[in-house]
Amino acid sequence: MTARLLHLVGAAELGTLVVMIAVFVMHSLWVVLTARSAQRRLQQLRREMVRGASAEDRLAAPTSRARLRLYHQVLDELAASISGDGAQWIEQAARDTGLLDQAARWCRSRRWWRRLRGVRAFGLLGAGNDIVPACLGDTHPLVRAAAARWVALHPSPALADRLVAMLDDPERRCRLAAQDVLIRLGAQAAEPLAASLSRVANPGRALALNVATGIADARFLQPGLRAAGDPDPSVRAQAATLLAAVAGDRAEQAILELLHDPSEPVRVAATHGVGVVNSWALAPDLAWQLTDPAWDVRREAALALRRLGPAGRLYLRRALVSPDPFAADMARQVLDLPGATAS
Amino acid sequence: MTVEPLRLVFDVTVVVVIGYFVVANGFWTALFVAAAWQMVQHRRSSAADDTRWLLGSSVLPQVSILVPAHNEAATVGESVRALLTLEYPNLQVVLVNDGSTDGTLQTLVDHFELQPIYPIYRHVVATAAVRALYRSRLYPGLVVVDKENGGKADSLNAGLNLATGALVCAIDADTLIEHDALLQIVQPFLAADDVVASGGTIRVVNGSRVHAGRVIVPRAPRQLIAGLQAVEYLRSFLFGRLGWNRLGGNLIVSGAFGLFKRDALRAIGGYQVDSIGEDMELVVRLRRAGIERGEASRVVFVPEPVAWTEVPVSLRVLGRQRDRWQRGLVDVLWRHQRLAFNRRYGAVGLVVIPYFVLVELLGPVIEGLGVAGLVVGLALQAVDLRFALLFVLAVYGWGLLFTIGALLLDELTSRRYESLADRVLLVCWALIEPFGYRQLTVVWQLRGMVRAARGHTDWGEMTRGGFSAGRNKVRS
Repeated sequence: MTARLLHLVGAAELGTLVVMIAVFVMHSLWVVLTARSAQRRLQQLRREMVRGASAEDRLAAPTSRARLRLYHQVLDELAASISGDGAQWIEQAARDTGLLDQAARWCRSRRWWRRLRGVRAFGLLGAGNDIVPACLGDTHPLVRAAAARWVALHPSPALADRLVAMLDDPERRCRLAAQDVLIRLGAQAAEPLAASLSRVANPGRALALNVATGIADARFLQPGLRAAGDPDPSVRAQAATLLAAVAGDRAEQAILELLHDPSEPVRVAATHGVGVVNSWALAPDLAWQLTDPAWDVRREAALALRRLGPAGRLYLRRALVSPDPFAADMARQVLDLPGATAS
Repeated sequence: MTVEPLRLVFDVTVVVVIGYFVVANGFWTALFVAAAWQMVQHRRSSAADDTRWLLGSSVLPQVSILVPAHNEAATVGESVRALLTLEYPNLQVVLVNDGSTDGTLQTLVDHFELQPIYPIYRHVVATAAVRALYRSRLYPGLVVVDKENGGKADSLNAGLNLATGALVCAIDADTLIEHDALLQIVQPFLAADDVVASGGTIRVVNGSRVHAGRVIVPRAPRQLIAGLQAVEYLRSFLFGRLGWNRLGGNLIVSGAFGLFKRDALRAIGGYQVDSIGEDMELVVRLRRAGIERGEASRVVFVPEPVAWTEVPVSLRVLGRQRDRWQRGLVDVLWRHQRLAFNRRYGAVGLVVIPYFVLVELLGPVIEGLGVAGLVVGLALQAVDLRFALLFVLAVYGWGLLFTIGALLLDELTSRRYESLADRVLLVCWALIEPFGYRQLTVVWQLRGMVRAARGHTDWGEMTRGGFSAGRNKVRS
């Protein structure tokens, strides 16, 4: 009985093994044999395209799927490193060869991976104004994130608004994509972002403030000041960083108030912010922070004082004889630093 | 002893061994199916993705690469230069010179114009005494820690204290990382909040052409022992670890190439310096702490990022390595025995740890028992030769299917070898592997278990050929 079972198992294994090895070898053979000719066709198409681009000729529509794939490959290659007029030519070439139609079909597919390919194709080849914005609300996070990237190349106030809304997305991937693109958009994103930060109920405030810090536009002063009084410590900490980036008297005043915040991360951010402002008039406040119970706050204060130059060094030397041993120790560590190597 | 009781003992042994192989192969079949599914999903999500976009991103977390180096003077300059040119926009390299006696530090000073620095940092994790810290004048992202010898785990802890990146990447000094591997391995952290670690694929570099710390022509190893390990690595990574992504998460991130959340590592006290399997121990502790605290605890394997490593080419050195790996496994499972079959730890306690206990830990014992039983049975004529051959072929044939399946998965997705000869050679190594090599591995694993029971905790020395320099001795 056992021997018979073993016979059966062995025969099944042998059959499967033969099939798997055959598939493996045939696929390898096919890849190796077609690699050279595929490379040759690719080179030829590249030359045709470059000639076509210079002669401003229209490219012929591909006659087979293989040819369409080749077009896709070459245009993707070119698009990755071309902008301006060249990008317009690529968009036109993609239109002539039917790649944009294909991308549009993919974007409407029920399969998420096809929609993803479609959005990514539009991101590389251009166009898609009438179809990609709808993908910002797609059910699959990868598609939403890809659509967010597309916005970086096709910005508009309405789309910037959508990206600001995406900062509250439940998926980290989408939040990060929106954050990245908004910072890349810079001043173009300032208005919708400031408007969003002015709203009272905004669950993604900390992230929005982080984006605002990356843009550092004066329009964020008011939202920053308001966020400095937020009950959420992570929002206050981010507000301190934003205010340091925006700067100005009112921002400075708000940061100084945050130095006495009960939350340690807020005090760390505020102390770091004072260091960024780099005003010697703030040296006494930084010196006071050397006695903070939190090590990170003391470290930020000491490094900020050191950056202030002679005025800061004076306070550090005074701290060496401070009755607070932690302040004295931190001052000693910072004063030990050779000039050019402070971290 | 008469023939009847002997026959009974033999029959019981056969039932136990067959039962074990059914359970083990059942696990592996589930892993293989999960890995194939995972690979399809991965290919779909990464199709037409342009990772170069990330190079211009200001929101990517900083990555600190921790490189422990002990007597690596011959290769350290090239290795560090290759790391500094990896494609990643926000990179710090922290090289820890672990009490080298061969001029490793001087080589670094000469190559990178190091100058002393005095940063204010917190010693979150205790380590052997740090003698000095340096930063390169040529590459400000390179920091060198010169410390007393304390072993690999201690060096990684020293680097962890200094790392400024939100993510830390632990590698071996002789690991060759592909140029875009960091952009790939960071992906799980960009996709989800609950990820604490991610690992990439390790491939065998023996036989490949290496220049300036990069593999420029990947080749399948021509040497028997290295070739057998090449298919073993592919099987382990491409369907083992990939499959675990769907079946409860990974428990191992290779010490040669893994990415971790820095704060999560610091929160659990970094690497255990007294553990032999420090990389597995770290991941188990990370996951355990995450589950107990209700925090992030997911460990993800990503097939795309590839790091190349040199494997032993002598049986003696390989035996020592496998012995140590088995002792590491015993050590980790013993330390974290509370997790086994514990519902509180979810899939980790109910699926992953039981797999490691039943298949990875007890597997060599049962497999050894089976082989010994067959030999005894044949000698005493309690079993006929035809049955024995059938049994061996059926049992090892199943395993062979997984190996060929892993090669097929690699061939259809992320193959690295260009020539047909290399691919066919891999199949040949796969066909040979179950006969002789696998039994030898069982012997080494059993030896490891015996030595673990006796309390041996040594690492042993491992001789490597080096990629382009002379032979050097490093700890395996």
